[in-house]
Amino acid sequence: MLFNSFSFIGLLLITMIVYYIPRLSKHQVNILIISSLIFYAWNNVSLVTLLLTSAGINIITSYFIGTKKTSKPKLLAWFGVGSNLLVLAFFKYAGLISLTFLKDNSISEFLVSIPLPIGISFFTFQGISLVVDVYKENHFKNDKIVSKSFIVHTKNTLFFISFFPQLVAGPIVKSHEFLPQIKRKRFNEISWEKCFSEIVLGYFLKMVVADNLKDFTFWIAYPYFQGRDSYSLITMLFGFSFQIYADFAGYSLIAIGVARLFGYNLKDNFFFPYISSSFKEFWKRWHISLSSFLQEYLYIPLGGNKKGKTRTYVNLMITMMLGGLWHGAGWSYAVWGGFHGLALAIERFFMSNKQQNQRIHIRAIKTLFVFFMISLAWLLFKLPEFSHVIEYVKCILQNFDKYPNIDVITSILLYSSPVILHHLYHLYATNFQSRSIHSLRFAFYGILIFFILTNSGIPGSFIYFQF
Amino acid sequence: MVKKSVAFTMFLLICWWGFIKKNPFSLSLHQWQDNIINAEKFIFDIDSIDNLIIGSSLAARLQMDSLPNFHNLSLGGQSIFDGLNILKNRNRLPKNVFIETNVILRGENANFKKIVSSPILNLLKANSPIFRSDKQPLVLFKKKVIYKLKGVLEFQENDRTLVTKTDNPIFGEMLALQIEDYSKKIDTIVMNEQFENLKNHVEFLEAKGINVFFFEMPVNHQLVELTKAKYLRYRVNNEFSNNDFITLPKNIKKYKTRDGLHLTSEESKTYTDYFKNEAITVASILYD
Repeated sequence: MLFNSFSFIGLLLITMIVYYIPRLSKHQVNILIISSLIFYAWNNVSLVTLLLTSAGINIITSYFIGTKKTSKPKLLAWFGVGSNLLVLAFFKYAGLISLTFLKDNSISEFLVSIPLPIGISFFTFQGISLVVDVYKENHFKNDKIVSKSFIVHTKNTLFFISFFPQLVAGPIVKSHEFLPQIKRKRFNEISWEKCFSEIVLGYFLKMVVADNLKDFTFWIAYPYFQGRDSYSLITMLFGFSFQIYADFAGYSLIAIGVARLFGYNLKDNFFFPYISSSFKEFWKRWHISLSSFLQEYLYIPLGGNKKGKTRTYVNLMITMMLGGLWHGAGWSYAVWGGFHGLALAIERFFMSNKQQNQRIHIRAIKTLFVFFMISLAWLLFKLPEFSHVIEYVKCILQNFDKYPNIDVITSILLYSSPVILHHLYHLYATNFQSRSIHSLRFAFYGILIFFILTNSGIPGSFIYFQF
Repeated sequence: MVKKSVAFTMFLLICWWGFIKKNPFSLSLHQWQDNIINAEKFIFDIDSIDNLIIGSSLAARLQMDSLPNFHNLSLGGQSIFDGLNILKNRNRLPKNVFIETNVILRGENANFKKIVSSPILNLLKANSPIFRSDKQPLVLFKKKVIYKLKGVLEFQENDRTLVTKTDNPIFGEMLALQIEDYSKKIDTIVMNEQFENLKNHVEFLEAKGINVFFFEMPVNHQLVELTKAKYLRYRVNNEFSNNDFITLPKNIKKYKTRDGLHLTSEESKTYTDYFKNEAITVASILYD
């Protein structure tokens, strides 16, 4: 079920009404589990089996570790994490592995034909976070979070893994952030203004910005881009940067706003990433739930920066390459991750020797450079064949003699402008406090709703669904 | 803030409605939007039509100024089934339907179907122009304001020249891709499914008293004798032997096209004349 569908709005309204009926308040978790399963099963009922199996593994392992009913918690934790990774590997990477290492036979044909269950990358990571958090006990005491009643623990865990706002495309929620929030919620505790502003901005970014941009960046496809001029190619590249941001940040904002309607606070997933003046800063602002997950559950366990310089760089590369592969079962995603890993490593090497210059014009140049490099790397998302990426860059360099396609350029600029203006406004607002602008917030959101109703693009599925 | 925002939106919508009533316009930015607009016009604006063309971006090249009694429901980048689905849900049906045969293999677009058959959206679009796809404020802003900026018009002229040029710089690559596609072995399972689907649509239309005709759009002459083209022709003749089929013009070697598939404007003029004559013959269409 898509957030931008009428069926979703129907499900949301019905769930909210039932959820806040005072007589049913003790069943709030059950109500959200049922709605979440309907949400997930909407287009393919059989997928629920996989979700329940994955949740089952995490329920059992976390229960036995958390209630100390096992003499080998470490072994069980490894089993839990390993099972999650196996499920992910089988459904997501079997095709890639068979294409790379196996010969053409019936087994490889079968492996390639396995469909990718929607949201698997997200809910398996949440399962891992639960098993690790319960095993390490460094965020909460297990006796406060893991109920001694198996049924209560099952309900809470299934709720945590399947909670529909973040089920299929994040933000990735860590168990220590979510489980302590499970309790009865009241209607009068809803923060309407926050929910409203997050949901409206989210739908605007998705339906007006991303859905309109996608019909112009569509032409970043081989061989069509070869006939285009350099100006259009560069604009399309930047347009795709804004599109992927609007698409994913929009989804995250809707998810956060909808979760808040039910009394659950999910952490911000994006924080104006394109004003970053370094790659390190970018990863603190882009898909924050993934980068913080990778940092906490992969980079730090690998040793982080505590085991010498060389090991730090190796850890960075491993983390980013695996983070790249998390996005898709293709080597181009690993290359994308490797590119970011390398950039972080190089940046770390130079930054440690020189003090960062914060003068505004230097920061502006750095920001533009980082944005350009990040946009260039997005090509690996759009063009899965590496040779086509090279060809695209070649065309950028060679096609300056062709007339610029003003229609494409102005359209991309027009639909990218809300993202650019929003980033610039954030810079302004952080430097100058302005009460007059704050008092006009109603007009800002009113305009956004107006454009959602009158200027939405042709609905497309969310880019991050494929991950 | 929530109530004030909603009230402000209502104010903007009323102003926009008033503006559109005073300054009617119909604008689009790209092919996908053209398709939706085409479908919306057919669903909401056209009461009755004698002859309807259903096809893909190939038939969308037909010059409709030369075909006054026709409506062209050809959808660029989409399938004939998208057009047929729209027709199926319409109350007032045409007398004659001409179906393009070139892209029978392409399946329907589920997303497009969802948009044009959504009861809520259709209710809004039928009752208020502000929700129609050709009335988007940012498209109007772009066309009317940005293009008026100094210097841009010159570029636009250059741009137009490029678009109407017949020597597409990647013509060779595009044609090679099409030759590869047209030479592929036929997937008979998919082909059978598509023809079964088409048969159901044709039976439905004929049961409603509509005359159904088929036509093949010209493509680059190097493609017309390749596996896919020949097989499609054979199946159409075989499965719909009772329906008239407007075959390719005899001078097919003169058709080079822009990219292997789509006619240049000059070729389009020539073919539209041919199509008109053939349609008059097969469907006994009389022009005043």
